[in-house]
Amino acid sequence: MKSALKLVLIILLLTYGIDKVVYVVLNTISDKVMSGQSIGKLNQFMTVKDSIDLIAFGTSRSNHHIDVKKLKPASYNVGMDGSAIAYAATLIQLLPKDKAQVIVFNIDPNKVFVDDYDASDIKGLITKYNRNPTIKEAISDASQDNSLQHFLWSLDYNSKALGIVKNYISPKYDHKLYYGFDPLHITDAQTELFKKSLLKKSNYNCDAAKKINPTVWKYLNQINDFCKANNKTLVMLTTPTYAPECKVQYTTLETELKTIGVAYKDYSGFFLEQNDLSYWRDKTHMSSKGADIFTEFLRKKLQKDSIIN
Amino acid sequence: MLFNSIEFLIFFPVVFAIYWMLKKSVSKQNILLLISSYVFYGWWDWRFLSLIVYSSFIDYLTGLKIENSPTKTLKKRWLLVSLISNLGLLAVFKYYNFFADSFAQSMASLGWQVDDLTLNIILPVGISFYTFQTLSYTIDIYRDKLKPTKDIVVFFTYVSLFPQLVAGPIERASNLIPQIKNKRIFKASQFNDGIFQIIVGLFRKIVIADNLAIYVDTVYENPDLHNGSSLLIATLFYAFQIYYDFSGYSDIAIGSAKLLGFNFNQNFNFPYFSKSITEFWRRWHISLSSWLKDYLYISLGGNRKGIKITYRNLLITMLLGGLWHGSSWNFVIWGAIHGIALAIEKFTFSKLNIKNFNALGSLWTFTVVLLSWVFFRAQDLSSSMLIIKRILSFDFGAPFIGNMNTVIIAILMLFLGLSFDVFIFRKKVALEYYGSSLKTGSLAVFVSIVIMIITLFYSTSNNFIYFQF
Repeated sequence: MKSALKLVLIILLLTYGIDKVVYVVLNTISDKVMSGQSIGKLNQFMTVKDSIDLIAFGTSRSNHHIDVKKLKPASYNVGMDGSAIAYAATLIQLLPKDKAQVIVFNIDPNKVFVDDYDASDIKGLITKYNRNPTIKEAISDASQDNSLQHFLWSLDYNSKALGIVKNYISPKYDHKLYYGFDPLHITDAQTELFKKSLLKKSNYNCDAAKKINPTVWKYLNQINDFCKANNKTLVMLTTPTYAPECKVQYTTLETELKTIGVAYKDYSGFFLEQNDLSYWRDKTHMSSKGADIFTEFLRKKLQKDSIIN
Repeated sequence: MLFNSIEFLIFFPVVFAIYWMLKKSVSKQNILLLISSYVFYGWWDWRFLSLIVYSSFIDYLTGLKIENSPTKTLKKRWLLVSLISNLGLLAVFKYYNFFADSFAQSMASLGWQVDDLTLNIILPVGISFYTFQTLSYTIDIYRDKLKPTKDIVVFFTYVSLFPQLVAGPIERASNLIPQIKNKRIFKASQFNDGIFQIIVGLFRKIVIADNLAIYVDTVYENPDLHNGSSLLIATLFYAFQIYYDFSGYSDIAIGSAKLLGFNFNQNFNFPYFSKSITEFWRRWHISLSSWLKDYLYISLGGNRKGIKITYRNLLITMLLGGLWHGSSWNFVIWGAIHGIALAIEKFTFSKLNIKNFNALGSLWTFTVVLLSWVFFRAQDLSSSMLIIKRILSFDFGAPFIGNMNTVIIAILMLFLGLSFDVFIFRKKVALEYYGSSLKTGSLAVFVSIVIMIITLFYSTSNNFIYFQF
């Protein structure tokens, strides 16, 4: 039994030691990575967040639809594929407390009126779990942490290590010119595919009686409270979609947000009057052309509302 | 409770510590094992514990009755009680809906509409495994190969011993019951073997199998959206996913049992290095294939009644072996492919007077196995046919990649796993006994490095595939 205990002890000590070495090495490499949608974009956001005046949050729809530089020169679009409200709400908590900033938040009712949202998108921030107390607390609050992370810090880099090394060796783009906006330049083939996809019937189940997911509502409140208390102007909106469905959910969302003092703008049907296939890559994502037109409209609207100059 | 869960990480050391504290009393150790096994199973759904208790009780009783019956006829009657009770459970929980649905469809094809006869039944985890395990006990007693145990705790522990309860290996009573009855002695070599095998099992399951699963699941979920290349890659990935998933599970089970002082039989022995399907079945899920051979194939007459009957027996055995995996025609076809291939090999071996194929046999074996996996994995028969049609059309365009990082991790880890397999295979030492051949320092370094690989690359995509059987 003694030899078994000795073996277990050596394994634990060795694992602990190797883990810390691997963790430090990955931290060092990771901190230098500024390209790529997950780590690079997050690192760049962490670098610029204190100096910029406008930040766009949301999913890939925010990422591809809002050309933030046209709204404010010092700006960043942190919208990302796969991220949802928990991810964004946590990043918002990291913004400087006293600096005046505009937060443009793209929210989609089909991600709000859902039964099964569990905030797992917050795992996108897991690489900072053992390095940033705010992120650690947010991930723990969402019950998306792994209790082993307290012992094995390298778990923060689970499934990310390879991507980090890849982006470190060969960055995807020059981050000095990048501000988070990724316009979708479409090809004729993509337009053809989009045309074909339009023949398919939507299977979105529109339930007028559906309530806002309580977890989503918690984060919406958190964002609103933070903005009110920290000199942030919150612009909550839905960017255009090709054919908006279940309009009743947009109306419900607007009414509910009004109760907590948030003015929500629904631009989902922005192109309905003068729709053109060239504005779209698919039903939910605008092409660069569509994004240009929409951003220009948004700029004028924000100027009119005296949110930007 | 899953082997790769935090719960098990707490559960097992606690059981281990108390278990060895009680080393002076086998009966107390057995009571602890029984209680902890029921906790392990009940963690999933405590209601189905009643089925294990029922099955254990029936076989405990019928085992004694068979032994004490004065005539062969009476012995047979008690054996029938055991067979009907166990297979009855399996029939209700696993096959009722399948046969009811197949019956309704057959009637519909004849123009008769039958009301929906299916029931809302949940399949209890591990039912196929413990049913076969308990059946082997009563059949062995009937065949005078085993004496029944009178110790009810020993028998109940044999049926439910947690490392092998939900997905095997299907341990024979002749191997396990004497180990449960007798005093277990803690051996450092056995402990080292166990630790080594558990860590290898975890790597196989949550690093290799679960990373491969991401691509496989995406492609097999909508096969109509993918071309021949993607479907072929997904099928290749699945071949390794299921191997590393199930052999990984077996490794953890066998390794955990070793830490408690038990020796389970080997369940996988590098099956993809086989040169024939016959050899494949001597290396793949060994506890099931030997069970099917001993209790089904031989009971049907084996190869003792002429060549035609031998072919028939092979086919029946593999068809039922397929059906054991699940209540769907896809599993039956999977079994049929293996049965036909085994019959072809039997014929070829006897004509050429050889015992196995040469190196080319590996290609034949892997191709047959790969083809059969399509039926095993696809959601239904029409999807299977579509996948095979697309692959065989040789229309190999650019494959679907999905998340590039995930695919690269899956391929890298698969390469690592295969290299490890080749290394152990060439050493000609069973994985089960490799840990004790290493010095403490080397073993500790190996385990720590594997833990680090698991930490960085594990995926949480799936349950163990064989849980559904």
